[in-house]
Amino acid sequence: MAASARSAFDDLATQTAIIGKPQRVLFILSMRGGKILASGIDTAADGILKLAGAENAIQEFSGYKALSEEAIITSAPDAILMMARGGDHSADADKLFAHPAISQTPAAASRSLIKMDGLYLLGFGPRTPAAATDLYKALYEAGAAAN
Amino acid sequence: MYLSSLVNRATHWPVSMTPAGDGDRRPLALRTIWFLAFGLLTAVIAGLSIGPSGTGFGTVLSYFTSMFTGAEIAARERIIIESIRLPRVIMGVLVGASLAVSGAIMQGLFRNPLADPGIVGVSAGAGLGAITVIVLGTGVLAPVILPLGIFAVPLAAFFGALFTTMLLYRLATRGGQTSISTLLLRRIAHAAIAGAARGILIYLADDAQLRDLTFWGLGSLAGATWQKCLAVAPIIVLAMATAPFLARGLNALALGEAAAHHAGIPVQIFKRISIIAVAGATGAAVAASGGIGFVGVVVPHLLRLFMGPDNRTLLPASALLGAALLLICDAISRTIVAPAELPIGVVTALIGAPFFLWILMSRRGLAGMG
Amino acid sequence: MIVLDNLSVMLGGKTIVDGVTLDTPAGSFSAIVGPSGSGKTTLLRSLAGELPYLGSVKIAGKEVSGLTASQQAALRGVLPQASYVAFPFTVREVVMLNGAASSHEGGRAEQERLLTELLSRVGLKDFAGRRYAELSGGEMQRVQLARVLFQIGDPNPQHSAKWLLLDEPVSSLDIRHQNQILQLAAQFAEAGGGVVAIMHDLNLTANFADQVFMMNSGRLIAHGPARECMTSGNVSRVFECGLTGGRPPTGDVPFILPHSAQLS
Repeated sequence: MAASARSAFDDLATQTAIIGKPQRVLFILSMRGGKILASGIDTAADGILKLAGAENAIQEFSGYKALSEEAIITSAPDAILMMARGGDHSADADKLFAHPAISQTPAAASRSLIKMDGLYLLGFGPRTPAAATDLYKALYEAGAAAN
Repeated sequence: MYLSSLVNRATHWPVSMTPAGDGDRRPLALRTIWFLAFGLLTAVIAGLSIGPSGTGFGTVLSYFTSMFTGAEIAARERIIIESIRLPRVIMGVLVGASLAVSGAIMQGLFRNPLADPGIVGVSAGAGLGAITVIVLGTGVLAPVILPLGIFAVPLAAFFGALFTTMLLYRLATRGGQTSISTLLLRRIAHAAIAGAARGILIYLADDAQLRDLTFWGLGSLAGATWQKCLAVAPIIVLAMATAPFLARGLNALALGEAAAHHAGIPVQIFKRISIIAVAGATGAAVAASGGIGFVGVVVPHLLRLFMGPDNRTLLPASALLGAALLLICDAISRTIVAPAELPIGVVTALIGAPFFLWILMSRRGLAGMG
Repeated sequence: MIVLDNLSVMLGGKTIVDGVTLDTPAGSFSAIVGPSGSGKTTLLRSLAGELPYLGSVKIAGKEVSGLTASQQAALRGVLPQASYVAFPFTVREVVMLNGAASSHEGGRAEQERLLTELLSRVGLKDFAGRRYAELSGGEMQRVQLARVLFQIGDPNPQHSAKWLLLDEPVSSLDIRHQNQILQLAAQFAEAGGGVVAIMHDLNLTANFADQVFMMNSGRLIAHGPARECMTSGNVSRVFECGLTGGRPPTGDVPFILPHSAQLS
């Protein structure tokens, strides 16, 4: 199993190595109460983004912190990554991109919202290579991003 | 030696602020109110012009003038000013004013310069309401909570506040007399129960919910949308509108409930109305922006020392200073660790705690005022 | 006119005031005396509308329990035994705290004049700017009286008398101020207002009161014009100890002196 994991990682690494311009991704942990909790560097989310060949839109702080709304605009993410909580995904995207700050981002322009199961995405277990690959595909392959 | 004499002077400052010869502080109070009104205006402009996105005063000016000239503003700037900063500033004014005035009313009601809305369990109730929704809102209570959308937490907090206040007040009132010490004891008991309930809910919460709880408890004006402003504005404005009518009664209460009755104030009714106004205003404020401390205690207290305890001038001045102060704290919270945001409760605590300490120390130096 | 008809007040299951019937007209200074626990303060409190009561209490023909707080305030002012002010008011602010009675129309200038006049009359002429909290007990009491007078206004506007209810108004004052304050109260009565005062000092009572009501254990034991009622027999009975009354060589105001702790 270790071998298959390593080979999956290697495949992914080859693919990500040839990316020209990495996608800037903003990982949002929660938007409850109007406060946007986002991931900076040195988190599991940051880690999985790196594996998938993406660039964390937030480099200025580490950990999960409340992000100021205007900073969302200046960080200009190309896509938004969130954990799936069940429920209607398309409604989530509508609500998300209706947020005043988010509506001004490139992610909103291309309606790039990626939702993945939390444990799958951030668990950092045996399924991680698959998760990272899925994320890569969602970001870089044609017809990418949920709607 | 030098330091201790400095501290000595600072803690005795309130005593040395002897009023003018004839004891009439009204002119000073009125001048202070004008000054604070101007200060608030400045704080509003500052709040609109400061932020991590670099949209500055010039843009704000063009935004407002464009309403008359019909000129075009870049969509991005427009969104920042109109949809992010403006509602936030308005929310800051509403919340700041309401916390400060509620504090002043509570202090008058309890005849204690250190009382604040938390004393009747408003914050505890609001908190309990909020975390119940945060934790149970996606599980057990989902069918009820989800349709409420972003209003779910604020509404729950508001009703939690109102419910707790009513309950506490009812329990502490025997034979028509509200005993303050009973109120306090009950509040301690309730806080204990609320704490236990919180503990259970925290235990049940998952990681994300836990973060929500923590950040909510520290307060923030983020996510202040026009909808939210419209949701809390009516009740806050209503509560603030009752304040001038309460001023005379609060003044009379300063001599005790019996003396207030002798002076013609219907004391029990008056207390009920005041408490409802405070619970409503604070509950709405806390619901909108989480738990923000110190504003309710520090603002009225400072103003009292400076311009006298007459509530007819103290209440409006508190509203103005509370609003201005909160806007300043919000500007700080938005910029000091940009692009992250400090919860505003942290900033008010950082500014308020030293003042609070100073108040406590100077009270020790004041004979006959304890 | 104040009329009490079979007034009884119960507190905590005990009868504190027991079937007291009395009346006192405006224009006179009535004193209530008696040992501690005799129900004097409770009686005054029911008169002031603070307590529920059985029987009838009428001020100017109106039943007190049927009046609102502000209606009562228009009829009478109350000076309690002690006052505690929680906030740093100045003397001036305390006197003007409750606003002025409706009988002082005339705006700010008139109120200023009244403030100055009242402070003078209670012997606190230049005290307006002082901090209330820094005053002595006696000075505070006089400020409170000034406040009550400010609130009440004219003792007898258009022939509807106002009342002053005083609870041991001079207990904490020195002799000079005791005289000053009681003279003020007497003047209020002379001007047509009514004064009911719980008095601690029998000799002061004899000097200033027109009528005296003596209470013991919640009941009215004796009453009448002060000069006639304050006999050795009456006061000894009411206070349950040996007291000798007499008249000084000059004048006809009685004086009371204790001679024994036992009722002989």
